[in-house]
Formats: sequence, C-alpha cells, structure tokens
Amino acid sequence: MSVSFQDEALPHLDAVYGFALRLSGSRDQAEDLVQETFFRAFRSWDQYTPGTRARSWLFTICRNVFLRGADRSRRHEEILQETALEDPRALSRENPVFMETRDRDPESEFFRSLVDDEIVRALDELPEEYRTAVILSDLEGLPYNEIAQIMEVPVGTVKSRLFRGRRRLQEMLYTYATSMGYIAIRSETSGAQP
Amino acid sequence: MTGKDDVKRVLNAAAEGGETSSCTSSVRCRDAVERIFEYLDGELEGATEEQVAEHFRICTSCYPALAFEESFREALRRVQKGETAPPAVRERILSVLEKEGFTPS
Repeated sequence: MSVSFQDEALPHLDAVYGFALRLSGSRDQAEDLVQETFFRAFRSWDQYTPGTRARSWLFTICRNVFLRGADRSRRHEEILQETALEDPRALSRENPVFMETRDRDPESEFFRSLVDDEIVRALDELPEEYRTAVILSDLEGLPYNEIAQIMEVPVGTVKSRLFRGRRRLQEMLYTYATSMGYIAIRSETSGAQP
Repeated sequence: MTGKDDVKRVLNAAAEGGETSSCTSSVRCRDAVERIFEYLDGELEGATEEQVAEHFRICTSCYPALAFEESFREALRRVQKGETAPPAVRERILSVLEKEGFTPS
C-alpha cells in the first residue's frame, strides 16, 4: 500500500499545492488543504482504483475539503441566480472585451502587461464554481470530462462555467489594464476627426 | 471556390447573420468562433477539429479572436509556473502520513 501511494499519489503533491493555492487564494490555507488532502487520501487509499488518474482524485478530495470549510452559501446563491437569469444565446455571443480592444490592441498585448498578482486577484474574485473550472482547465490543463467528475456536474455545465468564468476574468483584467494605462481609453471622437 | 459559390456563400452568411469576410473556409465564421474554447481546450475531434483549425488558419477575420484567447490563457498559465509546495510542507505531510503507517521506500 505504502509503495503505491508513494508512486501514484505523492508525485502530485506540487500539483495539489498549486491547485489549493489558487482555489483558496492563501498560502497558509493551501498548506493546510494539501496536508488534509493527503491525509484523507492515504486513509482512503483502498478506494482508489490503480491506474486511474490519481491527480484528479486528489483534486476532488482537495476541493471537497476546501468547500467544507468555506462559507460558500452567498456565492452559491449568486451563481444559481445568475444561471436562472442567463440568456441561452449568451453562450454564442461575440466576446465583448475582444470587440472592445481589437482595434486599439490588436496583438492583445495588455494580457502580457498584467502583473501576476493582478491576475491572481481577479481569479480570487470569481465565484468558486467558475474559479475551479478555470483553474482546472487553463492552469492544470485537464479535459472537460475530468473537470466534470471533480466538480460532480455534467460536461455541459463545465463548458458554461468555463465560458462565463473566462469572460468575467477578461472583463476584470480589461478594466484593470485600462485603469493602469496598458490600453488607451477609447476616444469617442476617434475616426470622426479629419 | 467558384465565383458563383462565393456569391452564394456571402448571401447565405448575410441572411443568417454571419460574417461576410473574404474567407473561403468550409466552416462559417460564427460556428468557428462559437467553438473557440472547445478548439483551444483540445475537445474537438476528427473532421470537426480539422475544419475549425483550418478556419482559424485561413480566416483573417477570425484569427485575431483566437490569438486573443491564446494570449489570455498564456497570462493565466504564467501565474501557475514554478509553484511548488514548500519543503517544510512536504516534510510535515510525510511526518503525518508516517504516523498513519506510511513507510517511504
């Protein structure tokens, strides 16, 4: 048992730490989350099916530990309300931030100008359901079906959470980039002058 | 593509509210842009994946939208690079596990 736990679970310690760090937004909390995750994983190692994806299994445990300790009722309500009000056609609309910046910043340089702390802060601002989907896909590179298993939702829900989470992040980063002068503020008169 | 096909394509696109750019891809601009995340996330397969990839290669109207999303993702990935658990955390976890019966080889 110890040997396989060492070979299959422990190599993912850094990945679980990275996930916990982005999920909680705090190094102290991430350290506690990783410790609790590996403690629980070791105790229930007999439930792990060898050859399956240990990393996803550990992420599932980590998220459950995080959610159990987090006061997520407000954000959960918020996301339910938002989903209920969602226009189904919204998923196919063009990206508003892209449309806003394509002429002024055609190479999307503003994303490269952002400091890491600002990106982390924007991630922290997302509701947990969006944040987890974005972390697992964009930062960890997991496929939709694994994210669906970890979050215990259908693949279609993963897609819509990714879509909304990414759009919201882009809006926050765009607002910040504009305030910092990374993108010129649109001139209402541009193009109208001779 | 013949001139006749080209006119038909532009008229169809206009009627359906799609793009009327000069691209000659078999996939409509709107369809490609709608699948942009699935494409970037590696979730498309077979002919669909090839068609969407081809569209972004040849369509000058849609390529900037793809480049925008790629640039966004690069920025996100940047914050995760090099994050490793501090050695003290690793040691503490191993110590807890050993109390539970874990024996490192």
